[in-house]
This record gives sequence, C-alpha cells and structure tokens, in this order.
Amino acid sequence: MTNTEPPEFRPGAEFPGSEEIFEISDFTVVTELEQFVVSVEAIIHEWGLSGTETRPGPPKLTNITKWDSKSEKIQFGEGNHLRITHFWPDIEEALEALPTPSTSSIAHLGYHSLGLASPDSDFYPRNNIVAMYAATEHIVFSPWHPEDDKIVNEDQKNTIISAIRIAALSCDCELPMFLQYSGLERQLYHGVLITRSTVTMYEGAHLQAGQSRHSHLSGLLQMFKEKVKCPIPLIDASDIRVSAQIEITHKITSAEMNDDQLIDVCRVPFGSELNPIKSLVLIALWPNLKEEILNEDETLSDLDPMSAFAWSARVNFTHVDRFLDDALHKLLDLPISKFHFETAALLLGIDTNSPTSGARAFDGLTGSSRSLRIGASQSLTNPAGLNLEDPLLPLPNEIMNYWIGEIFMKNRSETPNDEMQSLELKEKHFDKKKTEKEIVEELKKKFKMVKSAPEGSVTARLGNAFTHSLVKANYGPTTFAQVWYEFVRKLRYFYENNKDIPGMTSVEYPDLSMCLLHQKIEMLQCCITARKKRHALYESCNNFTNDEFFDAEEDLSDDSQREEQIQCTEPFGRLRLLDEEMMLKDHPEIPIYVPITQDREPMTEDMIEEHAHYLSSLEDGQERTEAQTDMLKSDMQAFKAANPGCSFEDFLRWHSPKDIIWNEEERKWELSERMLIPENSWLNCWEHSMPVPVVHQKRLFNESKRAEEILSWLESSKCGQISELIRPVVFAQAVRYLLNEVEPVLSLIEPEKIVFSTIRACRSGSRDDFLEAAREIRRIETILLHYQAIFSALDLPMAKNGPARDVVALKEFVLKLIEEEKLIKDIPEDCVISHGVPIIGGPNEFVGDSMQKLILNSKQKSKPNVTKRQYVLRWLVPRPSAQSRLCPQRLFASLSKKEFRLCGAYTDDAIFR
Amino acid sequence: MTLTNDDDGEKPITTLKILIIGESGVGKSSLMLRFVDDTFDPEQAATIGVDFRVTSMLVDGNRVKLAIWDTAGQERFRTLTPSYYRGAQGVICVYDVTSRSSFEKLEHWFSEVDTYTTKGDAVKMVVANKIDMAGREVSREEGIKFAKRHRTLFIEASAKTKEGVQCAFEELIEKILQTPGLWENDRPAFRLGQNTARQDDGYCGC
Repeated sequence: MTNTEPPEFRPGAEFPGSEEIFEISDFTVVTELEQFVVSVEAIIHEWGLSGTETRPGPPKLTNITKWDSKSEKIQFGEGNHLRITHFWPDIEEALEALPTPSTSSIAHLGYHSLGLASPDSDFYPRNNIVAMYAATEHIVFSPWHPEDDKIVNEDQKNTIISAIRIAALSCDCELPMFLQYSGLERQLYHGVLITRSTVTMYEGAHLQAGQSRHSHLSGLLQMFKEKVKCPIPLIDASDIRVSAQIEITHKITSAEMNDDQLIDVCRVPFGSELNPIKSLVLIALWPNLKEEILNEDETLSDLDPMSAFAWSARVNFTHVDRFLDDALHKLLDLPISKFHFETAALLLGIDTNSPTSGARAFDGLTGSSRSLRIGASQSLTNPAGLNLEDPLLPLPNEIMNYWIGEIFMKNRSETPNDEMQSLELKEKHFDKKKTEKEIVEELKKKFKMVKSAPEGSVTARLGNAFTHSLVKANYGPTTFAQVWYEFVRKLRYFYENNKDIPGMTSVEYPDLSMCLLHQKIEMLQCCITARKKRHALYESCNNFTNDEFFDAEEDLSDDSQREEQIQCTEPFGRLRLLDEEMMLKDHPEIPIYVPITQDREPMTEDMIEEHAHYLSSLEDGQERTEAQTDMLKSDMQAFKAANPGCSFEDFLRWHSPKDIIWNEEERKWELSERMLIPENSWLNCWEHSMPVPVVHQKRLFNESKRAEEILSWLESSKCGQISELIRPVVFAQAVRYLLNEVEPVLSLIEPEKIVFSTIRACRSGSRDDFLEAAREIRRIETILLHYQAIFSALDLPMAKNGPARDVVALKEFVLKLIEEEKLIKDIPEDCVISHGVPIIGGPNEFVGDSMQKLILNSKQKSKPNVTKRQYVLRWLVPRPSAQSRLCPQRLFASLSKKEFRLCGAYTDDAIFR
Repeated sequence: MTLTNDDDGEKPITTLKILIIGESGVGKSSLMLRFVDDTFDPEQAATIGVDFRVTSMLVDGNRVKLAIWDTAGQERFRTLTPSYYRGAQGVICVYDVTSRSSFEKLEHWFSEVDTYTTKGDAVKMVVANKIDMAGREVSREEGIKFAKRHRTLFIEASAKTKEGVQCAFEELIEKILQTPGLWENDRPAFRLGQNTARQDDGYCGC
C-alpha cells in the first residue's frame, strides 16, 4: 500500500463533476498514506470534530431519533477513493452533557466509552453501527465505488485503520471511526476509538454460519471471556451483563380464495387471492441481566418468550395481485391491446349478420380460430352440462344470467355488509373516530361531483360486474366482451318490450353531469318513456287511424310525409283552458286553449355538442334561428289546431305573454315592438304553420330512431371504446368502495388523492390521468388490504366481543405494524436489528394475547420457530493488565439461519498498561 | 382589459363559456350584441332557441376566448336551455328594472342554474337591465339585496346607453379567471390555479 513515490501535484479543480475531492497539495508529505492521513485530518478539522472530548455527549437515542450525516470523497493511493461520512443523531434540543460518572472507578472514561458500558443502545434498530458497537456519533469510511474501492483483505484494512488512527490522534478527535470491509451489503465494520485514556478496537466478523459451540449464549460468553483475557481473578471481576433478543417467525400459509363464480357481482371486488402477509414476527427481549440469570446452551434454554421482559412484533408482507389494481390496469390496457378494435360480438365469435344472431349462434365450433377461452371451471360448476352451442363462452350461461339479473335488479343495495362493518369497528366510540368519520364524509361529499354514474344505478352495477370480469386470472377480454354483449342485449330487450330500465323510470333528461355511458342509458330510457307516452296519446285520441298508429311503431325514417295538410275546423288536441278570462281576439266568445304539445328531444352531451357545432357552422343568427324553429312551429300548429280561428296575438298570449300588451286607451291587445318587425321569424313561422294537432305532426323526438342509434352504437362499440366508456364508472365505484372502508387506516393514507385524481381523470378522460388515479387507488388498496389481513390473522371475532379499550389497542397496534413495515422498506441498507412495534403488557394484555395465540400456540407446535437470536454481552474489567483502570468490553452477536455476526468492542487503558 | 375581435395571432389561454338567461324580453340578446358588436337595435327579434357569439378579450395581456350563449326566455323554450348550461363557467342572469315580474322570477332561474351547471362553482352575475327607461319597478337596493343573498356579482346596466355593459362582462371574466379549478388551460403545460394534484408542473405567468 505504501510506496515511496513522490505524490503528483493534483489541484482539486482538475476533477470534473460536482463531487468535491479533498486534496491537499502539500509537498512536505512523502507517501500516499501520509497524503491520505493529511486529507482525513483536514476534513475532521473542517467538520469541527477535532478536540471532541470537550463536546457534550450524545443524547439518549429513541426510535424516533432522526439521523443526519455529511460525506466527502477522499482519495486513497493512486486510483482509489473512499467516502468519509459523519453520522450523528439529529436532535433539536441542546445536547445534554452526560452526567459525570458517579463512581470514580470509571471517571476516566469518555462518553463513547461509557456508551459501551450502557444498555441504552442494545438492539437499537435505526442504525447498524449503534446496534453493533454502541457508537452513537461516529465516522465511517466506506468504499466510494462498491466494487472498485472495496476493501478485500486484512492488509488493506490494517493499513487504512492505522492511517485513521494517526489522523484521529493528531486531531484529538474522540469519535469512533469505522472502516467498512468487503461488500456494502455485508455491513461489516472494523474500527478504532482513541481517547486520551483509552483505546477501543472494534472488530467485526460476518460468516454464513458460526461454529456450533458458539451457537448459544454459554458458548458466546466463553468466547467473550477468552477474548477479553481478564487480567484479574474472575471472582474479583464484576459480572458480565447480558441482553438477549429472540425472534419467532410465524409464516402465513397463503390460502387460496374460494373460487366461486356466483360472487356478488354488484359489490366492488376487493382483496386478493393470496394472503399478503408473508410472516408475523414476535420479538422477545431480556434486557441487561446478570450473566447467571440467563442460561442457554445446547440442551437447555431460558429464552422462553413467555418469560421475556418485553414483547414487540413485526410484519412482513409479500407482493400479491390485488383485485382492484389488477382490474383497473387490465381495463386501462384494453385500448392499447390487440383487442381494442374488435367489437364484443366479434371477440366472442358471434355472427351478428346471421339471421339467428339474436338466438346466440356461435361460429366458434366451426373452425373460427378466435381466442375463445373455455371456462376453466365450467365442468365443475356445470355438472348438468350445457347446451352444446354454449361452451365457448368464458362465463357459462347460468352464471352470465345471474350476473345480468343482478345488474338489472331494482333497488339493489350496495352498502357494505355487516361483516365488513364489524371490521371497521364502527360500534366502538372513540374520540378520534369522530373527526375521522367527518373527514371521510367530507371526501364522499366532494366525490359527488365526479363525472361517472350515480351510486346504485344500473350503470354503476354494470361497472362493478366489469371489474369482476377483469379480476381473475382466467378471465380476460372475452369475459369483458361477454358482459357487455349480454348487457346491451338486455337493454334492447327492455326497449323492444316497452319496459322501463330498472331504477330509471323517473329520468326526464340525461343527466349531463354524469358520464357518457350513463347518459346514453338514460337517453334510452327517455326513448322508452317517450314511446309509451306516444302510444298513450294515440290511444286517448279517438280520431286516429289504426294503420297510422302501427306504422309509427316501425317507422325509423323521418316521418315528414305523414304530416299532411289537415285543415281543421273542429278544435283538436286541446290540453286545457289557458285562462277562463282569455278569449280569442277575433272570437270573444271562445276561450283560448293550451294545446297538447310535443316535448323536445332530450340530448346527451355528444348530441348537444354536435348540435352546437352545427349551429356554429351556420352563417348568421338568421340561419341559426331558422334551424331551431321546429319546436316553435310545432307549438303554433298545435295551437292553431286547438283554437280554430285564432290569431298570432292569441298565440303570443300563451307562448310569450311579454310580447302582447294591453293598450288601455284603445282597449285592445297590441303586439310588442319586436313582434311588429316585418318578416320576423315568429311572424313568418306563424304564417307558414297549418293547424296540425300533435298526433299528426312530425315527431320532434323520433324516439325509435334515437333508440336504434344508441343500441347499435353500443352494439358496435369496439373493446377499446367500451373500456373507455366504462372507465369512469369502474374507477368511481372503486373510490366509493374504498371511501367506505378507509376510516380505520386514515392515519396512514392520503384519501383525498384518490378523490381528486379520479375526479380529474373522469373529467378529462385521459389515459394518463386514469393511470395516475390507478396508482393512488393501489396505494390505498394495499394498505387497506394489509390492515384487514392482519386483523383477520389476529382472529378478529375475539376483538369484536372484547372491551372497547382492547379493540382500540389492537387497532393502533395493527396501524403501527403497517407503518413500521413501510418505514423498514424505506431504509436501503440491510438492517442488522429488526425493529418491532412494542406490545405493551406482553402476553398479559389483549394484543399480546392475540399474538401469542397465533404465533406460539398455533398448530400445536411444541417449539416456536425461533428464526433469530441476538445477544449483547457487557463487561467492565481492568485491561490490559491488572493495574489498568476499568475498561468497557462489549460483544454483540447475531445468529440466524442466514448469518453469524459478531461485533466486539475491546477497550484497553492507554496509560496504565 | 380590452375587447377585440381582431385576431392578433396570439393563441387564447382559455375558452370560457358564458350563458345569458332570464325572462323573455328583459334584453338578453341586446346585452350580448352591445358587448360583442357595440350595437343596439331596438328592433331586436325575440330569440328562438339559442343563439351565440364568439369573441375574445385581453385580460392582463392574456387572450381569452369567449363563447357567449344567448337563450330564449319563453317558458316553452325553457326545457331546451338546461342542455346549454353544461360546462358554462359564467352565468349572467338578467332582469328588467321596469318589470317587477322579471325580477321576481330570478329565484326560479337561480335554482335552475344550480341544478344544471356542471361546473359546481360557475360564477354568477345578476344584471339589472334597462336602467335608461322610465317607470322603474325594481330599485337598485332590492337588486343588491338579492345578489348578496345569492352571493353573486351585481351590476345595473343599459344595453341601449352602453352603461355598465362592458364592465359587467369584464368583472365576470376576471372573477372566473380568479376562481381556481373553474377553467382549464388550452395551452399544454400552462396550468393555473389547479385545485387537484400535479402542482409541480404549474406555471405562473399571470
């Protein structure tokens, strides 16, 4: 490592990039090692860490202590670089100086040496070096490049450590300093701490497996004693203190969900097929005991979790496919899949042109190579056997019929069932609960503005059925297509049989604040209503001719030719008297009647857009007016028919009373100025209107034509289009479901994000916005899924009957478990100590009791599955000689199936040797 | 803020939809024509169905395109208008100060606006028209009281004398632009005052 070549002159600015490299151009030093030492010293000075013995000690660490760090790049030798990092607990409050040691026997120890003797940092989970070496504030040298700068042999290690030692000494820096050995993931450190009275060497070992004689506490104690080589008789030395911590892992076996196709299609599918919990870990702790109190060797062990001093727990999750997330992504992928331009019928292999198409003729059997799936569970769920023509559909007929029946069910309630409510623990009142409930209610209120389909509507239930069709692995675009195909077929059935679509009887106009699909279904209902109304009108009218009525039924063309010039002398199509006092201008003995009028055509948003586009394509206001006179004309015709002998003034008294003014002086009705304008549209229209009652008029709303348009539009929609139409419904239903369930996990999530991202996506319709919404939904779905999984693992029924205090404790515990799991995932390095959520009261309290039942008693296992054992041994003895003062010795050991780790800190008196 | 029909080549930052509603004969079309063309025709024919005009104006240096929809006030046309409420960012409710009944019907118009506007927080304005005419039946105070109760903008105007017309439209449009989430920017990567996520790609040029 060291050589005698003179260093080259390297100005720091020569190196590109933002990394500042510490480089001292000092020609008084000769070797590269000395160059390195000088660089380290410079950094220690710059960071203000020299003379640290005067600094107050670090505070007591807690689990919420935040860590801060600062790094520099430092050159070592010709081509290597190390990273030097200073770690310290970031505590806002002024660091409290450690109280001066009460016993004079350890008065010579600095605070870092004292830390070695204190149990405070035992099994500290947030920082590996603290856990391994009890070094609260420290400096670490690690390879800059994980491979190229790796320390791979003892010689390299010893050389660098001695250099660090020189630098620390000359700077008077009393901070523990460590060098990371081997690969970063091994977390193997060696180091040194030099104070004015002691020298501590930190020695690490990391093996895949240790020797069997070291695999228990008594073997470790033996080894520790051999290493320390206590120079005085053991009988005179103080006791070794021992802390131990064991982990018992309970693996959750992934139970498959019941594969029942008669699922509740009207509820949003939620959950996962496999259990998301991989394992639950119980951590039992015995802190700071005398050596003889705790025994463990090959044959016996005092480490029975039931006798532990403290319990904590941890959960490990595994990635599983979640129903909602799975479905939403499949839905979003449809428009970019190869199926996107196929219609539902095509995808199913249904020949819509064949004369028997209505009777479900499938060409799949006769050689069509289309990707028709055979329902995997068909033979199981249909032992009776189906029609031979059917088997090529993904969902068997009876199941499909059940689905469709559920979708079109009237007043189907979608509120969560009782089981779910118990999960939410609604009955337990708890102060915080109120505000959580309020938050959710507020979000639900905000979500009402989403452009989708109303909760509980046919469309919403269709959305849920679609979600189901997308969920399971063996479902695919064909199932999706089948649901659509059957749904549209059912809509046609309703229309052709003059039956109201369930739950839509009161629809007058399509609700434009809803999504297009819902508007279209509402529009279809408007057509059904209009047709029923028209039929009723014909029936109530005595003068109609039979053939005309039946013609109208099938007539899909513009029925202008039917509008004959009927000269009415008899009043026709009167609805009611306008006002008893109002008489015809030219026939003061006849009152004015309000005629039966036609309704305007209801419009969906795309129709309005089209109409507005058409209007704006017209040259001027005059043309636009002309284009919109149809209703005015219809009204005028109807009025004329109902009021033979009437005048324009009479019409205005009904239709636009502001335009007819009573002239007191001349005692007559006069037209307003604007109606007197020659050639004005109103007058023109009046003059060209014949008396025609509504029954004989051209229909303003040709409902049969519209209905046919809507149905064939739905039928011919391609899969990509269908998925875009149904998107707002499926997403809104997912959010509504989650909002009903999130209350217990509210503290872990940001529910407003699903609300706003979904509102935004439903409004813009952009796939990117939907992807964003899907991401937010997934986040909440995962946490909720985890929450519910832990609850059911811990056997919820017990909790239901227990006192409220227990349930609240359990709920908080579960939330902390999830929170902790998230936190651990965020820590990049491999944690030597796994941190658990404390179980207050251990097995004696409700939470611990649940854990114990699950982990220790489950499956009548005689021996709990201990997966990890960790120990800290502490000893205060004179070292290296009997004349030396007391020096702290410490050994941390971690034993698991995967690794055997030893971290020793051995201190020598530097003065009395 | 200047109103102009000239296309100076600058792309509008947004298109706003303004709807004018109110009883028959209160002067809705006249207000629109005064604002868009700066003309007044005493012989303005009664509107049939809907009519509209497109114009643009400069607000703080940004071009804003306006689509102004004028509706017929007659009862029989009223079933049609709700279709055109969709997507309106601004609604102007007009009454005639010389007609008490046109003022009394405002209540009804407002409930219709609340029912049919799809943008929940569309900006509403009450315009008291025909203040040039004799025989006033509704006082300014009554108008203000009504507007306060419904939390809307209020102005008295005369399409005939021009008074208050320009100001009415300007106020309304400024208010719309100040309302976050009400309008979508037509230019990509130029989003103002969004109330939803993605604040990070925000741009503030106004």
